[in-house]
Amino acid sequence: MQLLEAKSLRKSYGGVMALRDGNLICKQGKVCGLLGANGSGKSTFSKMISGVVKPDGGEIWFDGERLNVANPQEAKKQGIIMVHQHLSLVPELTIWENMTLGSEPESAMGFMKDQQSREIAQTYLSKFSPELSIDEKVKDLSLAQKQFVEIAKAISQKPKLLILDEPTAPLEQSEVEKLFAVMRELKANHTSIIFISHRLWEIKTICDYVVVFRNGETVGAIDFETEAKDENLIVSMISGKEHRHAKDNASASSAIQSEKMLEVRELMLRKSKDRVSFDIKKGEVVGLGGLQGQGQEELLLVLSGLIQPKQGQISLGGKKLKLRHPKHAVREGMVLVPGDRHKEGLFLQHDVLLNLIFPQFATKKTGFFLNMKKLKAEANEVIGQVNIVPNDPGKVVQYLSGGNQQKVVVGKWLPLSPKVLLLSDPAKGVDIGAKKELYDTVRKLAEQGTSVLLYASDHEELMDICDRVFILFEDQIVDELMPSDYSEQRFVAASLRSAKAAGN
Amino acid sequence: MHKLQHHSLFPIVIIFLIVIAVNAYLQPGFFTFDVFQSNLASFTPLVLASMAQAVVILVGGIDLSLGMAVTLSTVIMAATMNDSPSSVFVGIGLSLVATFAVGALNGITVGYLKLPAIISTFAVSAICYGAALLIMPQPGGYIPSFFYEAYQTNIASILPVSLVIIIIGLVIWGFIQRRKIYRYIYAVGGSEQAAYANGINTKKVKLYAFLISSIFIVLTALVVVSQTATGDANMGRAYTLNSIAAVVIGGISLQGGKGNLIGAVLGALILGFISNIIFFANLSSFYQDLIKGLIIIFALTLSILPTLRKKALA
Repeated sequence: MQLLEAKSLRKSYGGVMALRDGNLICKQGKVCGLLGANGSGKSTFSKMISGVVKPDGGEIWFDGERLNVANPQEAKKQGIIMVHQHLSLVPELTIWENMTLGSEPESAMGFMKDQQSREIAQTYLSKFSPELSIDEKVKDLSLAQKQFVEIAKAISQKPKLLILDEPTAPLEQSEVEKLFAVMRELKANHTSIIFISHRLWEIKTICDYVVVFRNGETVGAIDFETEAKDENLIVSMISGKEHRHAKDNASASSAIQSEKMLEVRELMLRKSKDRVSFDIKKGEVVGLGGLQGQGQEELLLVLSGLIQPKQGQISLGGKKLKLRHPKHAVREGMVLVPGDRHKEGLFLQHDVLLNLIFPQFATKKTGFFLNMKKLKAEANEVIGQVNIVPNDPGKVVQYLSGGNQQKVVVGKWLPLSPKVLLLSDPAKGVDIGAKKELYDTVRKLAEQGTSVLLYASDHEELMDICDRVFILFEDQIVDELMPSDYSEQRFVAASLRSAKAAGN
Repeated sequence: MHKLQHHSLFPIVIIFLIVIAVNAYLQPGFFTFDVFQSNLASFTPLVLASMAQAVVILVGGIDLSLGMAVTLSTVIMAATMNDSPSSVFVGIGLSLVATFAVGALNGITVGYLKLPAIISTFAVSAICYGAALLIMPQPGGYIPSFFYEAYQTNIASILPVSLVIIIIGLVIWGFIQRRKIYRYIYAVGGSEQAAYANGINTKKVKLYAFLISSIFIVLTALVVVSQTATGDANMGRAYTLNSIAAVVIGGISLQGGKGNLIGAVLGALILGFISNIIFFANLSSFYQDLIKGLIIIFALTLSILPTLRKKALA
């Protein structure tokens, strides 16, 4: 039985077609995977269904009637709720206050019934995190916990159609399983779900069928109940090209030179934890793996001068470094592509040009007056090198797709010819095509002699691109894997091994 | 104790206790009922003004018209009141209307027209000042003695009227706390975008915040007029910045959405005690403002220490 049918939805913004021909059928009690690269139109499409964006043309039929909603509140009344990627929680309010925000139960006299709100919040939150107190303020939660609160809140309003826009981006594997369990429960209660994700194994695990968008059009659908879950077919539908890994294995290690670039000795990242020591050669791409929160991000922050280590030594090209401020690291040529590009990597409201030339100010090479002609030429060169689309230095960064924004974050360091590039989960929220381009750029830099230290939450990604991968556990390297000895089992085993066991 | 230390009001209470201790040391007979009553009577206007300012700052705004709204209200009372009780009611009624009109004007310009509060309330301040000058070009007017003497009395000889008025203010806030508007003020101040995404009419919430603030402005004006027993268009100016200072010392974030109205009350009392300390320390009047400014910076630094520590950890 079908709950929703969208026919030939169209939308353009100031002459630019965002969606040309969007079609989709939602079946009752099924999970529909909505796939497509960033900028393929799937985001615009789901915003139309949830009432955030008004279509220029086309029809939406919901529950047997023509749907015509002007805002998210009307869509919500009809039973359509979208959980946005950018969270709609108020940080200073508690979990329970957030979960009933805008729909507080109240008495006939207009007084809030807080007890009832708390019960609702407790009931739905415990599906995800029974150990989490509903009195915690949202600002104190991890990204994953915030995501759970957001989804629990949506579910508490008992939607007929739930749209989840990349809900798993901040989640770990075990948390994804929890989400899937709740989604299966919803399915059993005849709720329809539209699920957006860039991770193929998730799509294969939870979706009953998928609909693929490319260049603003629906290009096809695969019903997993009758057809095979063919990964290569899905990828080629999304990209329109044959799938290929970022690293060409034969030539991969040839770039590594014998010269040591970065030496880290007995570095203590946090209080009362273990120390970490390692070397990286010139032109080598080294991955940081393991479970989340085992010190990978702290290591990158220490190396980029953002946090000070308790103890230990860092030398770059034989020179001992004292990194008391990020500018020290930048001047030495050790630069960071941070995990949260919106907050830490970009000036969203400014154009590509300013974002690309800004790092040069920290190096004090610019002189008293800026040579804009020279800087512009450099920026244009970078745009070509990392392939930012559109190749317009005047484009305001917030209007670029996630993948292109990330290219700006990487590209801004190129004119400094960095010696060490530090990357913290750079492919988060970036589509498959842009991810490949990003990693191609990283490999190209490595071939030119830049050493790379990369943290990624996706294991296969690390194995695809790195020459070596360190597995971290409680701020210590417990194992080192080469791509040739990679297997999921070995990876997981190494990640779970305690520091003590590895020491023996 | 550990938990107490992390309560948002903890630093403010510590500062509060320090200024009380210093004040008690310097001011003779600090713990007698008479001194308590007179201190309280002189602190009350700023306490109420700070509650008014706090509501607006919590919703993410700022009210630079507050002092002049108080002035306008007092001038209207002084211009209309005479010895008949009915004129007192007319005076209070007219100043209520004027204050809520000012609140509505602020709410509409900030909420519906989306003008930056720091400029639009400044403009409204000029409007209030102009109106007050029109009503009363020179200081004067008349406040009946039964009205202003009532402020100095004690109910059942132990409960000062000024304390009763503060309690009335807190009861009104307690009532608001149980209604949706209370949570919406924090939601809009904390993240306007998130509040909007949850279907909250953020414009209306801002308007309501200014109207709630008007309640406290009227109470402030009543107290001020009882203290001065006259109308003067140049009288209320200082309340604007003093109330903002009290709110910030009280731990309420200027960005909105964070803090507690009790903090604003304590902040106002701290400022009052600081003025007392300067006075009783027998400093030359040339030094008074200079020292006061330094103490306020010190108090502010103490009050934001917990936030600084948290940032260092992140």
